[in-house]
Amino acid sequence: MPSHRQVAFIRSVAIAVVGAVVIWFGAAAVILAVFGHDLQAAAPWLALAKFASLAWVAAIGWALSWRRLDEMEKEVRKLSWFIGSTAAILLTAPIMLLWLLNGGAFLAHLIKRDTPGAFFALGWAGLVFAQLLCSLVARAGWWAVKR
Amino acid sequence: MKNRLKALRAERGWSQAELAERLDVSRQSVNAIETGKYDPSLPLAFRIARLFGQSIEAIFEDR
Repeated sequence: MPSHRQVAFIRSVAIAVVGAVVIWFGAAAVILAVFGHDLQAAAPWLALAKFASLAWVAAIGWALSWRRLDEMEKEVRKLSWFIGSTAAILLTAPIMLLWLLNGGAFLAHLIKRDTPGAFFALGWAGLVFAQLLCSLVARAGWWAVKR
Repeated sequence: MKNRLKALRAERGWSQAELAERLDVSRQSVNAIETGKYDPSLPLAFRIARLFGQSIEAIFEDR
């Protein structure tokens, strides 16, 4: 039998997912009704609807689940996010130095593109990935010590 | 910080999960408080004290 905290969490996830589905299908239905069979013209709007749907999941799911965390779990997340972000900056700094050293040739070869947008995307994705990874490691470490 | 939470819980025959449910926290939090690995906030300390009908000082010891 799940506790009421678990039930509340499941309910939050359900609200986020159902909302996203409603936004996505609702917006898609309206867009396709407006543009008819011109899928090429509708594509950017469909992409925007998809983004809105994902943004809903991210924002509502995050906000609702955060409210349901107890104080210790919030503390763990704050601490691990702080440690994770600091570690991520340190870990990704060498990539920046690598870019400075050889003008980005190696990175361009790695991502098979050399446009500013590709470099920006690589930097953003790299930092996000490093931060998530470091935060998870920090959280696991906290639980290992405090459990 | 030392505390008498485990003893008080045992007196009432509650499991960690039951106590967690009554305090609206996770079972892991109860365990961490009982083992002295986590110090609860003042609002949570008051909730614990009210639940057991005792003062905060009677449950938590600042050592």
